[in-house]
Amino acid sequence: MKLNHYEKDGIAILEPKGKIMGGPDATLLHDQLHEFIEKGKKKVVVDMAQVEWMNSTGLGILISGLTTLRNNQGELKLANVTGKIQSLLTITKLITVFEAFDSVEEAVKSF
Amino acid sequence: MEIVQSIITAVYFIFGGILLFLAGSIVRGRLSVRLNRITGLMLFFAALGPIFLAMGQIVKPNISAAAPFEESIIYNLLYIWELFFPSFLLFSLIFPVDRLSTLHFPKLKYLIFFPHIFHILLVVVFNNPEKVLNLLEVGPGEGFLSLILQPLSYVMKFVVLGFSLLLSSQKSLFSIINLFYIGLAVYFILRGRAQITNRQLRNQSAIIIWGISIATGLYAIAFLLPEIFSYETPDYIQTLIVIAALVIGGGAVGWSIIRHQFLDVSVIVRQSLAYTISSGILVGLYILLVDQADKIITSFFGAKTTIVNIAFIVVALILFQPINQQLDNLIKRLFVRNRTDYRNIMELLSRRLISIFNPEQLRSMIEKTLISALLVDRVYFALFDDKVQEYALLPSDDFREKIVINRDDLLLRGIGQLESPVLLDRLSVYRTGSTLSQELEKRKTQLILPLKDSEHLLGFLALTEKASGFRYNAEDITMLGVMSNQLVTVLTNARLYADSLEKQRLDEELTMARQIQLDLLPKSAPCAESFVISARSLPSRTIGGDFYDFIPRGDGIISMVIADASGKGMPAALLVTQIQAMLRSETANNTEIARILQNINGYIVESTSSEKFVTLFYGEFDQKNQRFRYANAGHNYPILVRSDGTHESLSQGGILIGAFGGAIYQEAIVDLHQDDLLFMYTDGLSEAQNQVEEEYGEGRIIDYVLKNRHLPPELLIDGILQDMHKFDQTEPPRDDTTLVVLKILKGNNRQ
Repeated sequence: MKLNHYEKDGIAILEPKGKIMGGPDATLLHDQLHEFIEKGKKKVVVDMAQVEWMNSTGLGILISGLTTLRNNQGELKLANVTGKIQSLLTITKLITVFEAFDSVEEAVKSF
Repeated sequence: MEIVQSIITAVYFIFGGILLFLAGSIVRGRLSVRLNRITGLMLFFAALGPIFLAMGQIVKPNISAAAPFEESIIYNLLYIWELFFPSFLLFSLIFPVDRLSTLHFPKLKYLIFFPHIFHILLVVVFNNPEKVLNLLEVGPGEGFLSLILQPLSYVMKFVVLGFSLLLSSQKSLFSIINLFYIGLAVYFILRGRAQITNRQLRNQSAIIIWGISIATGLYAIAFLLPEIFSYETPDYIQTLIVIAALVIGGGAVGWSIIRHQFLDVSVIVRQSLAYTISSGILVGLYILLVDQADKIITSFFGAKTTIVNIAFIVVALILFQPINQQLDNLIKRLFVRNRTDYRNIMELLSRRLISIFNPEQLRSMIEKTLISALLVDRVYFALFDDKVQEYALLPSDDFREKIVINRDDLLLRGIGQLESPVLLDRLSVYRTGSTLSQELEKRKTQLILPLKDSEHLLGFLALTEKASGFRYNAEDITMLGVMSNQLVTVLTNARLYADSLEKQRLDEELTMARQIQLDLLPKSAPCAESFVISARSLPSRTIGGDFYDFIPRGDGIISMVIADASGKGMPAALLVTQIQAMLRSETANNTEIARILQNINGYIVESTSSEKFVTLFYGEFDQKNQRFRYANAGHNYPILVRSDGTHESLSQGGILIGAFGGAIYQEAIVDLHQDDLLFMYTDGLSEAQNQVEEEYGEGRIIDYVLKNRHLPPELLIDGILQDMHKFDQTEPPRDDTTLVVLKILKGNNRQ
């Protein structure tokens, strides 16, 4: 997984690319989120457009990101959730806790 | 009698020669070292003794009665050898403990030579006082000059008379002085030895001390004591004692050079020393043999024949080389090719070390070998520590704390660039601000031996100065360089071995864990006339994060669970085991499915971090009314295939378990009928991938199950697993795969 990030209207946008599979990916995302929190950026959108695939560990990374932000009075929203990841979130019913939007703009607006 | 004399002469010459060679080798080996110079000097004067004695033996018969031998120049030159005694005293002041370095006026030490130089001058210049006295005689009454000269000449006469008096008793006087010197030297040496703690040095000094002390003691008995107490010792006893003293004294020094690295003389010098000794012995034997043969021939022919002598020399010349070779080899085998020769050390080291895998034992063996081979005082190890992923100076007897070395330490990086052993002094560019440098200084390190395999630095050895006080010479450094390669091999072997042991232990533990996990799975699936259940769980590793369970609830109700913990291997297995235990206890206390799942979720959220979770499908089958109540906590939807070929997914329930506190679960009910089939699975099946990264997926599963729904559950499971393996041939499988299949055999027909 590669991880880019940028800012839009004061909201931090994370752009993971490739497969989210745990191991080093977990630390990468975790460290990035903690950096945001330290800088006071507690509203984060994860743009899933370029995520090819995600296993259960990858799912755990997202869940942990969400709880970390919420514990710090923040929020994590998802954008461009499609295909397999959509069905993964549906099956696990995580769709009930993650707010998912069709585009980054919509996600940013929702804050 | 004449022949005996010539043998004695030859023996004296040989010993004198060997001692001279010893002196030369020692000085040549290390001219810059004071101990070597002084030992060389001492042995040089010791060598003069037998050489002058031998020359005296030759000259003696040619001396006429008019000029007695005792007064000849040659005879008096013999006194030069007595300089041995002050040089012996000087030696004792530096070996085994250096007392000279602390002197305020170092030149004062030469004063101990003064009495003997005076003695030599006395016997050489004033050996005929009458002549000197005659020269000093001044004629009377020759004016003013004589007035001055007269009293001067009286004074001079007085002095000369004093000298001649001294001369008449010089032998006993200087015997006393020599005896005093010997006593003083032995005293210094013994006191010095008491201060040595290093075992090797003690052995080395013991041989030298006893050898030289016995030799000088013998000399004292044969020459000095008779002189002082005025008694005669027979000539032949004197000769025997002199030879014994030479053998013991010279032998002791030679032995400790060859065997104990006394004076740190290099291997080549030690070898040539062995060659000289073997040649000396051979020449001595030859002379004895010639003497015996001469006697026999003389008594046989009644006269001497030159031809026999020439034949003898020819035979000797032919035999000398091969015999000397053999003797030389023997001496080398006995003395030189031992633990002080580095080729031997290498051999010994590789034989000994290759079978040791215990790292501590290995290090102590390396240390011992270095100490005995090089007389190193101490060896410190710095090795890469796998646990902390840093280099560390390991604890030793005198520095008990392990010191982790910063990976950016300048000196460490300098050592990383070394290809061969280097004196720490040479690394001074790397030492500013280096904590490693300070630690090494504390340990009095003199030499760094890098341990490097083809790619990286395993660590290094820090060697202190040699116990003998010598610096490392080129030969030592060459040897250490060769040795470091061997050390790298054995250290790497030991590490690999330790790793494989650790892996073996882990494997054993995993096998045990696997067994425990298998034991936790139901031994058999429940079945009755009206239904059949089959189940299978295939972990991708030895143990896995999937499980299934059947719990009889009484009253004809059977609970069934299929679950999948996030992740794989041991962490997943631990989570699964916890859930399994909770399910057993929760189903015993609760009848409401939603409550059971909510409770379990609460416990897991409390006890694990949020990225650890479990997806779980829980169902209860009531045999009486064939009703199936279930809740799906984020698990892959089980597929319910009806007898008519329609199918539905059992998705009702709630979020996966363990991630969010306070989750709510809802139960749902489906009625089952004859030939209905419920297919439950984990994502190992649905997420199997073929070579183009296409997933097996829910669609394929539904198709397969629909097509094969008439098969008995056991065969259906076999079939779909085979189909999956055809699709995804990854070995070991990507993920744990678990299947549970419930089939209704008999029951309410569809209404």
